[in-house]
Amino acid sequence: MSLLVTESLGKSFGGVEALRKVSIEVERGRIVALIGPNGSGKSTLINVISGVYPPDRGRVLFEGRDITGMPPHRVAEMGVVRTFQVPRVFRGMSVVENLMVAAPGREVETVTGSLLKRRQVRGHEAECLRRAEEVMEFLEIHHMRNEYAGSLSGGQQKLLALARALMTKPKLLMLDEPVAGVAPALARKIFEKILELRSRLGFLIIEHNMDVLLDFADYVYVMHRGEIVARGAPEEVLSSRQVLEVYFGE
Amino acid sequence: MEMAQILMNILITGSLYVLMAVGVTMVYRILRFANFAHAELITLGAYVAYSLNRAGMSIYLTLPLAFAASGALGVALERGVFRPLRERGGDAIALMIASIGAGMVVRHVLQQVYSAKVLTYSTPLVSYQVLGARVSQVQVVILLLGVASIVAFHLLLTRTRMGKAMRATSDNPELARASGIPVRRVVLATWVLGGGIAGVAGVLRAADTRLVPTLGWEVLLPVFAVVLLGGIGSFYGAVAAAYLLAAAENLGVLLLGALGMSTGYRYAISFVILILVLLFRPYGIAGQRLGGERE
Amino acid sequence: MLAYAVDALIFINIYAILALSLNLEAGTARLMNFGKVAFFAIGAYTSALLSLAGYPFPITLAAGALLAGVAGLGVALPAVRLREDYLAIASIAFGEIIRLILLNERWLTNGPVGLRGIPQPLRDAVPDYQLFYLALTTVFMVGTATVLHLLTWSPFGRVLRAIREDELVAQALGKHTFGFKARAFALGSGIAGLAGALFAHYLSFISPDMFMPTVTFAVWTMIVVGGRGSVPGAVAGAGVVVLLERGTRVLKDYTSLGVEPSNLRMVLLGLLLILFLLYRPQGVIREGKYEVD
Repeated sequence: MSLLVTESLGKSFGGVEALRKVSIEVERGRIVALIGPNGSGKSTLINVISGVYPPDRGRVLFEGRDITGMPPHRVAEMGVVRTFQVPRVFRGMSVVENLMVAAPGREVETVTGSLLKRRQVRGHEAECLRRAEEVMEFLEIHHMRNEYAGSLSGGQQKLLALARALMTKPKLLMLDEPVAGVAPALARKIFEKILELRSRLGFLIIEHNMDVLLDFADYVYVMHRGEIVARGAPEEVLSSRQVLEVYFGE
Repeated sequence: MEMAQILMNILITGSLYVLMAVGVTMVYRILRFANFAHAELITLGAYVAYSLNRAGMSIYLTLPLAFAASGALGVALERGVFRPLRERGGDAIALMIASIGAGMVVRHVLQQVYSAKVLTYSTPLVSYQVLGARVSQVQVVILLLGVASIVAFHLLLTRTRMGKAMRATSDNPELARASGIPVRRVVLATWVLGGGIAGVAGVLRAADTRLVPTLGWEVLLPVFAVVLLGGIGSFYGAVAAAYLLAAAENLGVLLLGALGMSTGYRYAISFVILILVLLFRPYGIAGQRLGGERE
Repeated sequence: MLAYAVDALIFINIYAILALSLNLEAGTARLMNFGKVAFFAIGAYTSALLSLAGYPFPITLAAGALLAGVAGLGVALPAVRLREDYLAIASIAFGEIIRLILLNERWLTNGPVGLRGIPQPLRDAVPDYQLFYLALTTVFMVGTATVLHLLTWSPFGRVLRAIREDELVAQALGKHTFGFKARAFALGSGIAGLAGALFAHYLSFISPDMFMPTVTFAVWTMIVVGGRGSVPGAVAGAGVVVLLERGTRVLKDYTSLGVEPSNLRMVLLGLLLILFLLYRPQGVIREGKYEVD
């Protein structure tokens, strides 16, 4: 069964169709890329899947369950987690705290839970910290754990955003331009890390860098004016005339 | 009360609201913060007029000077507080808190100079009968200035370079800056105009009621109600909202009486409207949704 | 002289509790509550009225805090969804409505005259009442600070900080931010109600003009000066603001400066707000940072 399926999603903003009959599929263990020019609807698609706003038409299915119109925190709790184009780290918090807050903790994140269930909280904190250390070491940001997140460079913030998303124990990660504005060497490193994670979860990634896509993506959807205009293996899709037209005009 | 009198009272209250709301709505839109010190721009004008009036000047002749004083205070606050704070990365909330601080300073300096006592101008106690309603001379001036300022603002915004620059800046400050509009000068002009008119409104309100250091503070929340109901940055929206709120207040008092509630709640009418607007229609009756999306 | 110092310390305790409550909402969670005084008033009037009706102090105190907390929840449910500047304006308006109710519902609140002869707990049982009340308020202040310190650095407080930094991202990470904000607002309001009850029984007299918006602004000055997000900062800020107020009064008593102390005080508070926002936005005691080895 596919991890994520969207069934002909439609969404309009004030008469402008941002999404039109968008049907995509992401399977576990696959890196699925979403490409297309600015304003083609990629970010809108991610926003609709993650519950920022409901679609006008169509359905979103996750592990076979209908999650259409669920609020963002519910979608995230189910394991569908996204990052943003701008990293949006919690600037006034330390790196390690950025990670720890992302861990699921409904049990202890209440007023009474935090104050009264001290032992449970200690256990939760120890476990959170252990996982945070693990993730920070995996993404090689461990040495910055006590820095304010806002003091990190742009590329480091991208890594932190990815690390934070991993802390939620996601099943599907949706990454909005995870390496935009990142130095090429670091960009490749980020994708190599994504590749390492692939066996355990599915990825839906908005990305423009053709070299990266050819090396890392398993499948590509091309969007244009709110519609999926091409799909397939990266080698075929990226060399097709249609895609060139979308990007460079008729 | 006679229907004609109620209608007249609505027009008078509404005209004062128009004059008071212009500065708030423009600053809110262009500089993106709720300026609480606007209350003191209103109050300062009224006290300056009081001093001049005591020295023998007719209250009507003090109006340009009240305009100048409050406009100057607006510019001083912009240059001394708000611009430095923006340049240091202060966000809308920091600006708002700073405006509360600035308002506290100005109000209590005025209170120190003039005392907290209730003061009155010496104004000619002339009144007229207009279509069955009694109108004082001050109120006639309020009505005339209300209409004149609406027309003047309309002409300013549509016919003059500065007015067009103001509209462009309030539509999109970044774009305005990029397309060569002198945003800094537009902002200063906004403070002069918005502050100056608030000062004039302060004189007129004090002449119509009485003068106390809380003169501006008492009307600030109703003025915010006008600005939000009209849609932040919308001059025509504010005009409509000003008369609408004035009508709600004047008719609401009658309703309070009919319900057997204390007329002391008349101030609560605009507070309740303000809260309802914020909860259900924060983009106003005329305006559109603003900057909700980040991407 | 000693009595004067003890009186000042009692006020510092009461205002520190108020500042701590605002700090939880505004400093930690960025909930722009500008109607703080309303919950202070609800706590004060509830406890005073019940006390005048013969109920014992522990019950009236708890009722004051509880009713203020419930009122806070009632405000929070519709209002914490609002954009921050809208919440600020709406909450000021709410505070003014509460004050109008205190002024106009004479059957309950005795209107502008206020409530007199509010019973003081253990008035006749202790030799030095002021010292006793200082001890009592100190216990509550230290207790509140301790609980809020624990809460701030607990998983709950951590989510509040995340909401402050970027609410949409907190949602995208699976946090039901609305629930967190509503709980913080209700808890902060309840604590403000506690401060109000302590205030009413200390003065033994309250009236609506003690609950003007300027109280809210003074409390805001405390947390801006102390350091938004910082628990010790809120206490320090309360100390600074109360001592400033006392200082201006002393100035009036012992010098021939022709300035009304209340005016001087408000001017200084306004200047403090502006200067701290400009030159030291993190306050005297910066919010702590979570660090690990």
